[in-house]
Amino acid sequence: MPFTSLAFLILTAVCTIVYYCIPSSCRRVWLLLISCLYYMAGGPLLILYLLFAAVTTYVGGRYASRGYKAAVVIPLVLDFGVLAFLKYTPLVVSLLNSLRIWSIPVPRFVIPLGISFYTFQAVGYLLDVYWKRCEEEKNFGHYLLFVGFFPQLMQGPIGRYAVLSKELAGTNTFSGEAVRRGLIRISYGFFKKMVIADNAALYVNCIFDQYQSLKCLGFQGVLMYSIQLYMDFSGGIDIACGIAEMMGIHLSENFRQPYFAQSLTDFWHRWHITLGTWMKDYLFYPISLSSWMSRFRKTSRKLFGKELGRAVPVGAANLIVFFAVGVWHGPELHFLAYGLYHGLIIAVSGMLTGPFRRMKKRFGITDQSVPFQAFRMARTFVLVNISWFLDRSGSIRQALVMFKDSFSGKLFSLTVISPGNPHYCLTRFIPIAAGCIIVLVISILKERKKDVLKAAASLPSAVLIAGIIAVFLLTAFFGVRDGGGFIYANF
Amino acid sequence: MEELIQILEEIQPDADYENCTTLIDDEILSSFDVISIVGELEDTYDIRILPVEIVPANFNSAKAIYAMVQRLKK
Amino acid sequence: MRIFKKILPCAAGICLFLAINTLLCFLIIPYQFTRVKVHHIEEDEIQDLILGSSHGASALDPSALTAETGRSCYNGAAGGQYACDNYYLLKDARRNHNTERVIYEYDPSYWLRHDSMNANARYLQSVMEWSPVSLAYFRDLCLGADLRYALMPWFLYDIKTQEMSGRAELKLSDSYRTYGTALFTDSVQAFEEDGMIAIADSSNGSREIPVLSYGPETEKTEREQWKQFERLLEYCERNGIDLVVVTTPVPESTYLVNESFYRESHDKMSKLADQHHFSFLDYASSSLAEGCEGRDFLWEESSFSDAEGHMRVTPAKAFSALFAKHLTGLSVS
Repeated sequence: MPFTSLAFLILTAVCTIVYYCIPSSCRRVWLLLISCLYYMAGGPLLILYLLFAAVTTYVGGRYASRGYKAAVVIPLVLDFGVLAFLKYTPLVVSLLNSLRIWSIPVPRFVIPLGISFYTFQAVGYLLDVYWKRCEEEKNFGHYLLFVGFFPQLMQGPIGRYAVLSKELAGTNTFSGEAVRRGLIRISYGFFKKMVIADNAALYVNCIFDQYQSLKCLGFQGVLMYSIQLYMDFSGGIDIACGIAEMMGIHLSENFRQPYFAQSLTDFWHRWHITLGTWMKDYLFYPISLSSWMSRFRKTSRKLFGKELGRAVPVGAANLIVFFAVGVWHGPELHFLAYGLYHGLIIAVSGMLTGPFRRMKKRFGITDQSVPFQAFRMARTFVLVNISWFLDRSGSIRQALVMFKDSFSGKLFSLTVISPGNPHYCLTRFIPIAAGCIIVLVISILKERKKDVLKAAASLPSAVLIAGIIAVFLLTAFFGVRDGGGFIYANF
Repeated sequence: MEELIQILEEIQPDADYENCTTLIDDEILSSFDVISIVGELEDTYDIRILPVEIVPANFNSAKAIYAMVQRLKK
Repeated sequence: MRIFKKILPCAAGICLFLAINTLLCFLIIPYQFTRVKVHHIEEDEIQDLILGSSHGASALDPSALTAETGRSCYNGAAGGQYACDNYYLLKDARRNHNTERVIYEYDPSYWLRHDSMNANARYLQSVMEWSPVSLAYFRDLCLGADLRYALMPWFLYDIKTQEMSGRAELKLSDSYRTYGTALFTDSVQAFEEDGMIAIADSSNGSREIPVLSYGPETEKTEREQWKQFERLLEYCERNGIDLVVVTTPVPESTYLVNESFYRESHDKMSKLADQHHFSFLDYASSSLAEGCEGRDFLWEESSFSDAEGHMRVTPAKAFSALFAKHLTGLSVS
């Protein structure tokens, strides 16, 4: 049941109205019921996977709180095992087949919706309990709701137990402001997804699918992809957060104007934030603080001296993290390359922090100077876009060929999506351009710490309702008939 | 305390360690810095810092870091 | 009073949206002959109802059938009508009348594809009278679909401002009110009173032969299509409606290119026909049988306006006469 379907709209409306009509003690049960209904709409048996992840981590949590290490390790192995089995078996089988010794039919599994997201969330809880960052949850129903709360099930954000469980308690009273805020965010999400991302996807698919015959336009393709991916993913998150917001539930933010990032590290503090912090807390820190890393640090210091010797182990841990980010995206080499590309740049820039700092001092550059900030922003944007080549292409080879070809031939073509029909192409391009300007303005305001949502929510009702209707009509005016689903719902 | 501030300055000189109490919350210290600091503290004070300790409360100010080190030294 | 004050802007907003939406539907959605077909199906007493897709619409002439069988007949088939759509059309007919027999035109290429934003189906649903049937149809069609498809069906059409006034004028005309057929008759095709879409003998479409085959990528669609067809089949069985399935001829060259596909689809439907005891007359894959009447012209390229197999009117009427004879030869249960 995609966010863009009529059924989901009805489900959300019913869920919200009933949520405020029933006593607060019943609200968790109600949300759990709706979440199960939502999940089972995609196939009744798929809920077993969700239950499996929930049960293993719940039981594990009961013992992990008493310090049993096995209570953490076993659920971890089981849950990541299921995830890996579903996602990587086809790859492993086809690799085995390529040895030409066996010929095993490649299995095709139905990947349960959002399995990457809820598995990460559940495992995060277990580790938090073990590390005493939160209390264990004794009530399984409450815990199941935390794992399977329906708006975030499909594409995140990945929530933390300590925060989210309080939000889900259902003790809030009806607030018109919350409903307004929620509705605005949902509309904004629909706008980003249906008006901008779906149209940009037309260009992206066209250019990336025909790269061999086009032999140019790579930059246009990847720029359009950077628009599509951001609008698609953050739009989906806006819808999820908006739905929760209507019921007074705050989900973690997943984006903070990522394309304004000053560095790749900064980019990951602004892009898919909940995955980044998950990786940091549950992978980066544990690896960095392990005893073998501590030994490695001592060796490294002997070899490279104080400053570099300190940075090398951190860089190595970081590389492992981004390897994991690549693997998380899918069982394909180009995703791995995408992860390692980010990891490598961040690791190297980490090692060069000292020399850079000294260089900046010598030339009198401060981080606050506007031209320098603009330079850093542009540089980061370019680096990110290069990585999108790896992310979107079907193979590393394709990414490299497209990148190389981008420098020759045409840079931009409005009509590439339908060469004989410039009018049609214009109707596809205008919403992308106009939409991006609108989002850019809003992003600049947010970057300057203006609470745009609050300002919009305090508009008079008539204006607000007219605005929501206008957005709704725009999604149809500029909508793409076969726009397809959300990209991150596949992970 | 002076020794600690010296370590911090060496890793990230652009911070006001005397007064700032939001080193993590305001992202003055990155995760890279935190890990570098931890490594340095472990070696200097001969302590072990476990993942449990990596919470903002322990790193938001020089005072908090100092308190954590004192606690772990015991 | 306080609640009333809060609800009022929302209610006004919904009314405003409905008004704009209705206006856009009125201006953007073109008037289509499906509306006339649905009107006849809802109003007329039809004994033999022809259902199916565009092949059936152009190849099956109800007058020829009536001449042979003496039973009233109407052609309700139209392009883009899948098994699910035909099922609801049949149910819609049965609300007021006693349809005795369904002649279902089976174009196996429809089992290979399905458009989740089928504009024809959405239009068909929207021109049906409000009833539990049309509501159930809306639920099946729209509940899981994109909300724009469900709520703003004008989204499915290109917005051509220069055509808006013409469309509006048409929808305000007498012909619209009286369900006239003349509007849909031009040099290419004629919309006949009995629902047949008579394609002019002079009409020429694409001669590019379609390549059809079943494969893993069509598996899911196919399963869904059979499920929908079986729903119609069950409905017929439950209500004592005779079912005759017919596949209309296709050009010989198209058949030969896709021989294995036509054989496979023939076998699939034959199997179902045997299980459920309905008649299945396949003029596509038996077309090459020696000695078949009409062998000399029915499968000729010149009998079709295109390679897909849309029949021209003269051969279509001849074919319908032949089919009618076969139909009377079938034992009526």
